[in-house]
Amino acid sequence: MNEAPRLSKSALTRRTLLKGAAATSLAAGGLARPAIARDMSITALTMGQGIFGQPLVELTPAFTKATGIKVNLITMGYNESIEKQVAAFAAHSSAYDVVQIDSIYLKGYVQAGHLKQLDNLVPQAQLADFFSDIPPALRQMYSADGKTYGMATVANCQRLIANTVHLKAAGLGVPQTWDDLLAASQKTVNPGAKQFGFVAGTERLIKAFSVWLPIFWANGGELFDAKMKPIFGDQTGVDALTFLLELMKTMPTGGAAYTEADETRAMATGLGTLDPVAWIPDAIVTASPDMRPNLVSAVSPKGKVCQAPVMGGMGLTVSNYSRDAQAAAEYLAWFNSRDVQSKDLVPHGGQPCRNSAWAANASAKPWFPAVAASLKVAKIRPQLPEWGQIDSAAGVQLSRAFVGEITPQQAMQNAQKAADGIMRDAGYY
Amino acid sequence: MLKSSRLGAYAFLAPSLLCLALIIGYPLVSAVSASLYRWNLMSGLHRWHGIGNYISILTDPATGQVAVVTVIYTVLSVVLELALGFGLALLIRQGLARKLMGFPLMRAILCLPVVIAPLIWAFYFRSIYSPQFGFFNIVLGWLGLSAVPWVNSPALALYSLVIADVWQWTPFMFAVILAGLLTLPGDVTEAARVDGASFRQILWRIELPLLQPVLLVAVLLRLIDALKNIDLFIVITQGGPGTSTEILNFYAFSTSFQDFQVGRGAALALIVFVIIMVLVMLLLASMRRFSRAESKA
Repeated sequence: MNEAPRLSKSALTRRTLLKGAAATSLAAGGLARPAIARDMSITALTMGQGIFGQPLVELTPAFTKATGIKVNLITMGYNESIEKQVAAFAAHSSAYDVVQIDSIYLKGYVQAGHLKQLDNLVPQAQLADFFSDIPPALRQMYSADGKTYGMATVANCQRLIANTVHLKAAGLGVPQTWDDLLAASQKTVNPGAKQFGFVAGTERLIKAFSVWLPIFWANGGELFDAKMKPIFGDQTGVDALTFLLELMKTMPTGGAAYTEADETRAMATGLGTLDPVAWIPDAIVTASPDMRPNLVSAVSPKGKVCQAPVMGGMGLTVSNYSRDAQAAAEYLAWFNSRDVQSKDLVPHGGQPCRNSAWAANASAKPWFPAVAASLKVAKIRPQLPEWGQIDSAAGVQLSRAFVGEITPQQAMQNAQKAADGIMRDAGYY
Repeated sequence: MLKSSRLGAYAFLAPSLLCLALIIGYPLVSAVSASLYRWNLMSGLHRWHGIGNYISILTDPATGQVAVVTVIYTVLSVVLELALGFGLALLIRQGLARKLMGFPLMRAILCLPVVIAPLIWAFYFRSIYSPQFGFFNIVLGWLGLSAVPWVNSPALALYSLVIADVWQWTPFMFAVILAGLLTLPGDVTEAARVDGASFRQILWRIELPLLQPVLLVAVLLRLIDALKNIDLFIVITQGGPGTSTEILNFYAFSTSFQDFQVGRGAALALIVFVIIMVLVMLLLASMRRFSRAESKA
């Protein structure tokens, strides 16, 4: 009779041990295998539509596919977005990792400590490539004290939109100077035919000051002296406002408090003839197929000294209170990469910030040549932390002049006084 | 025994009181604290200012203008809502009393505006008031009249916002006054009618005095709401054109979130809070007075 050999206790123990070790190592090997998807999630506060928002909304899924980083995109209008981001920053809230901001607020946010420096988050090679491919002005707008705090993403500036049919009917071409523009606005007014001349967004928040500014700059105006004291309430400033008030007499009903939506619709429907301070191409995009060919874009008119459309644009930044700054920085880097800027941004409704992307998409949209030419002459608003407040305070006074509450002299004096108070408080002098 | 039951009662109330303290107390204390600083959200400036914000608000000429606009908006809205609400309540009461067809349904339909969220209502009216493409101006165009700058003219903007407010909140007054009218003792008015009193005499000499508590509560509630209103101003006019629709509550909001002066904005918000608390105390005192009068009777 054969019996199965009795295994010794130690052999059993060894066998069990070996089996256990093999099983454990298999399991560990499985765990060590790299995950296909990264378990990261960020929240981004951005615009929802138009040149600033549409590419972000439509391309974010592609970012998630490429990187595995999930994005909770919170979108809203411009005014609401500013109020939201200011409230979140004031509360040091980690609600948002990525925040799309207007460049005029960047320096202020940096000074208050609300933004993360990107030089440590975005690989140096990527940043160097980015800086080599954007206008120097855009780098300046999104950095402070030599450090990078934002990436331009969507470059933009003011441009002129004109209705060539209205102009041709009056025997005119697209005006090249501000004086020509005023004459053309006055000549094309025909209230009976529901046709008016000048159109612009004139509401007091953000819009009012940036309607006056290109006229002021084009005529040689200076906002500050060498000691950073505001001097824009001088005769050049008053003359610019007086000129603007003349232009506003040719606006449709209610022009003194026109929102951007009113401005866009007025041009898109043929109600207005000339919008020399248009920030967005939506008038052309939303116009009917019959109206669209009538609307052309051009560089803003020239004053006594120069053409001076105001440089704008909205860039992406990383909140200093972000829970995952690295992932947030990847979002910025992806949207500002050569490939995305050149191949994806424009077909998804955006405007690139990279020179190579502009070259690759030169005629992609009918207004692109005008915007590209305007970007070359556009003037940057003062890169001060206090600029957002000055814009807001001055905008109220300009709005009061628009509706005749005060004279242009009083408006410019009040605006300069408000700006002086802000600069004094900030310790400039 | 009484002491232990009182302690027990406090123990049960404690969680709710703690929640209230956190939800109401903490933000209030935080706002008071913020109002004592010069605090700029943009530049990060944050330094002790004591009551400097309050002094600068009270000595700023702009505050006077804001106060005038606030008073005009609040008083006009509430007076119009009271008058229209009262008129509608009388009309519906007559219809209900005579069992006329459609009046019960009309009573429900009239209350519809109140159920719409104030922010949505504000967006409706922003669209309706659009200078070229809004419904009101389209109708005026059909009638051969020129477009009106409802919210684009400083002369009209505030009154246009009053219309939007009255349209939404008149039903509130209507519902409260109608409920009051329907619960009036019938025997008193019947006796007056038998004695030959006219409709006007009954309304003025009998019904209005009896309705006084209801009217006072409704008016005070609406005054408080009108003072707190901000949706119409943020969505439609942003305080403009110029400064023609800058009411105190919006002024506090814009100071904090558009001018980034959080300290001054907090001080303004606290001023609004104090005014509202005065009205609330008036409301509570009048309710106590009426309830004492009722129990004596």
